[in-house]
Amino acid sequence: MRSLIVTYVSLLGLLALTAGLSFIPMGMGNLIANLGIAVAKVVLIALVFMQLRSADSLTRTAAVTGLVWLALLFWLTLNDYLTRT
Amino acid sequence: MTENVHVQEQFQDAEQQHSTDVLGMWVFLGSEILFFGGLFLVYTIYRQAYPEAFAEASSHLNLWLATANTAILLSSSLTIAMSELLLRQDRLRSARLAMAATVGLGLVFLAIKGLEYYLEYAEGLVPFLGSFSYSGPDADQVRLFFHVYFSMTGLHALHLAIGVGLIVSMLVLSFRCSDRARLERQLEVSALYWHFVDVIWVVVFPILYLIK
Repeated sequence: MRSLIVTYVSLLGLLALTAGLSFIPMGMGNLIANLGIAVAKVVLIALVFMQLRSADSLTRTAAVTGLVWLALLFWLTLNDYLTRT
Repeated sequence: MTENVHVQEQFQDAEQQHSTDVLGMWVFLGSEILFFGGLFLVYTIYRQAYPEAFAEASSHLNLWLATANTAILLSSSLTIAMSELLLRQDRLRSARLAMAATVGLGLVFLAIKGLEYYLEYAEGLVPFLGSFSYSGPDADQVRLFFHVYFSMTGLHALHLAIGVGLIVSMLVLSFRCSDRARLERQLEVSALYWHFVDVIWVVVFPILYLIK
């Protein structure tokens, strides 16, 4: 129960941080901070709430596979869009 | 898990039955990542093509309601995780309360989202209801942003509504089913889905609301 509460408080802290930072103009820094904080929140939820930290290797592999396919989708498509002149 | 767990005939033991349930849900969630991934990709392409228009469009959204909604959804992830733990500790009554709290938080989220949609409708920002009246610079690109916005948040709200239905059925099951191990497994799988819907929102929130 304790690790659940600690995770929850950390998530709320990260939410306050990301909302607060959006009022400070940092250009590209805002994008990087927002995405970095989002990734941190996702990792916390996946490891603790979704119990990936105590899951067997097959389950972990299945969880990561979704992200691998997503990365392929982005990589191949953006290879086209970001290199058009 | 209790000693005499009812194991379906295709499984060797309760352990295998449990890990199969969890694995099945993760495989489904993998397909869901790609389902939402298409929208995230569309967003990425248009955002890098029209950064100013997307920032302008985003400033018409209500950041406070969305921040409150993020906190609500994170809280609901805590309550559903608590209900799993409480059920494993054999505290059925508290586990039910935590499930009911999750359902309540989910419904509050949907109500606030509905209010946001209404405010955007009143401002004439809904591109597919024939009421799009934004006439500032880059009106076409702003319209595009709102197409992406309503697709993403609408699809997310639909998933959340399904999640509410799932948790309600877990509540009903907790009264009807005497097989505690089965209830534990099904609640765990339903909770995985619920957390996934939370994860999607955690990504949607900064990319739609926090661009300046």
